Amino acid sequence: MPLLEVKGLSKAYVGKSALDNLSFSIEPGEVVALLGANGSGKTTTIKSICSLIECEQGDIYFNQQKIIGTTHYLQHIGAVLEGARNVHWRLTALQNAAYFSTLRGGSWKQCQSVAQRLIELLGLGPYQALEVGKMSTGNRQKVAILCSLVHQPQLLLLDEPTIGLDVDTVTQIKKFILAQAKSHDQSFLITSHDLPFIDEICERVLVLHEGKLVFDGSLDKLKKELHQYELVLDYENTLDASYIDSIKTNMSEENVRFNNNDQRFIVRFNDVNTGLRITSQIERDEIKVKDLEIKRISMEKAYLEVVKGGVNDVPVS
Amino acid sequence: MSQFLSLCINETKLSLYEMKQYWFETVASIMMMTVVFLGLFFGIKTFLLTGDDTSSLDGLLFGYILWSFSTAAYSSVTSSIIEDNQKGFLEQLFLCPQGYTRLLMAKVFSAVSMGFVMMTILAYLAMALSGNWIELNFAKLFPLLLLTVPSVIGLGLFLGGLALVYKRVDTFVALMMLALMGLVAVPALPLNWASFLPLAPGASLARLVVLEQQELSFNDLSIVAVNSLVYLLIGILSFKHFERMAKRKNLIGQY
Repeated sequence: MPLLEVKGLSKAYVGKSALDNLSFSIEPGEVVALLGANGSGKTTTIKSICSLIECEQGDIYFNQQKIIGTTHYLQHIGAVLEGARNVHWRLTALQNAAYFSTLRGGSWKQCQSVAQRLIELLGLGPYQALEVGKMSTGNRQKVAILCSLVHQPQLLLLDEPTIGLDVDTVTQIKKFILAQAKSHDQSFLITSHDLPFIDEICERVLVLHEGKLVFDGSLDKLKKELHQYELVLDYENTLDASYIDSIKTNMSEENVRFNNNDQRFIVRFNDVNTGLRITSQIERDEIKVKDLEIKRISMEKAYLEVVKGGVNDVPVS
Repeated sequence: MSQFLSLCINETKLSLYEMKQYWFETVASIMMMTVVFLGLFFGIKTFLLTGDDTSSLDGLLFGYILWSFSTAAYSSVTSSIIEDNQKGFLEQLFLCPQGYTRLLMAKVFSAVSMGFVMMTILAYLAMALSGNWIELNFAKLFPLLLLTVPSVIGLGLFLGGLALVYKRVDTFVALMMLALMGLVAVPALPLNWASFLPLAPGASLARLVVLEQQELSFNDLSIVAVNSLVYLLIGILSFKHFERMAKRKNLIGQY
């Protein structure tokens, strides 16, 4: 049974659609990424789940209960919405945890041991006597995460949790999220522009474009549909269409996309042997090559393709 | 109720943490209030009063206590919304499962209780320092103020709602502080046009019962209770209206 269900959510600001019939669900223990360009509706989605925004249409269900117009479900939700600004800067990590756990309806007596465990897990132990305002940006962000988790919510909403953080802190947060999801069955919905971060922790991706859900599936599925590899070849001769056709017919893989213009030939494919086959043919036909690059397509590029044209109509650029 | 009490205790703890962290401001405000009390005791008695007639002093001191108390209640609502928004965690407060309005009530209850304790201590301290003891029955005053304060909270909620949508409402907030002085002073009992103003009947009743030692009348008590209830309801309903407007326009948390 899904923990969270969003059904047909629509929201417009001054006539411009921010969410357009958005539907998705999240299972317990699932770590889901919500991706999209700026203004695609990610934060509006998160805030709608938190009842901070009122939508014109649609419903949200949490544990099978309709939540619109209610607040009691919020005791099972944690959120980091503005990063480190979400906590009291003049209080220590533990004082913040005490305040926010009680605010969320938890008992501090019960939450105290959870807070201590989370402080250790997040690596905040040496800094717990410091006021948050005197901590580094990364540690402030960790305190915000601590406060959102201390009452042991079932769902944690993280809006851009890695902004301004160094690599080590991002790695710690990554490990932490995965451990929480696995051992405590907590679900996470994460918006981020940090795609390598998403790549490593999310098993499922939702992609929004102008408020519409354009992709909902596993990260592997997204990558498969969008090609894993890209071959870029710069040449001196002119390659006519018939030559490109001859390469195409030589391919054993179906899902290959070609683009050839201005002495640059780009191919996207999923089977690494396809790349080898193309380079062998080019060598055999004595095409004068100026430069050649074969690389894995980054998550960022894959996601941008979905946003721009949809999975099945990706123009190679 | 126990959940609400737990919110009140939580807010009181937060205030105490903040008082400790911002100790300079805390000390400065305590010193200022002590100086004001001492000023009232010494200055007015020396320069304005004649003979042994201390009733004017009592009235002035009483008016000051009422005004400070109502200001604390009123500003605890407006400043919470404005300051928490500026600090950046207003959205987190809206995630309170009991609802933001109840959280605001808890903040007010905490601020009012702490304000009352502080004021009582300082009043007695000033009386001890000055050697001028006046007849103020704080045990009678506090329940009457609790009955009166919801009308001021209603005003605070109305302006807080405006702050939620329009963000900067400082002029209105300052104007209302001044208006509270007038509302504390205006005679609103027995029933007259001033009885329909917020705070006024409660302040009048407190003055009659505590200062002038009159018997508590059921009619007066009813006027105060109805006045408080009506203004509190207006405040809650208008706040809910502005809250919805802010949620529709995605204004919560934006500054």
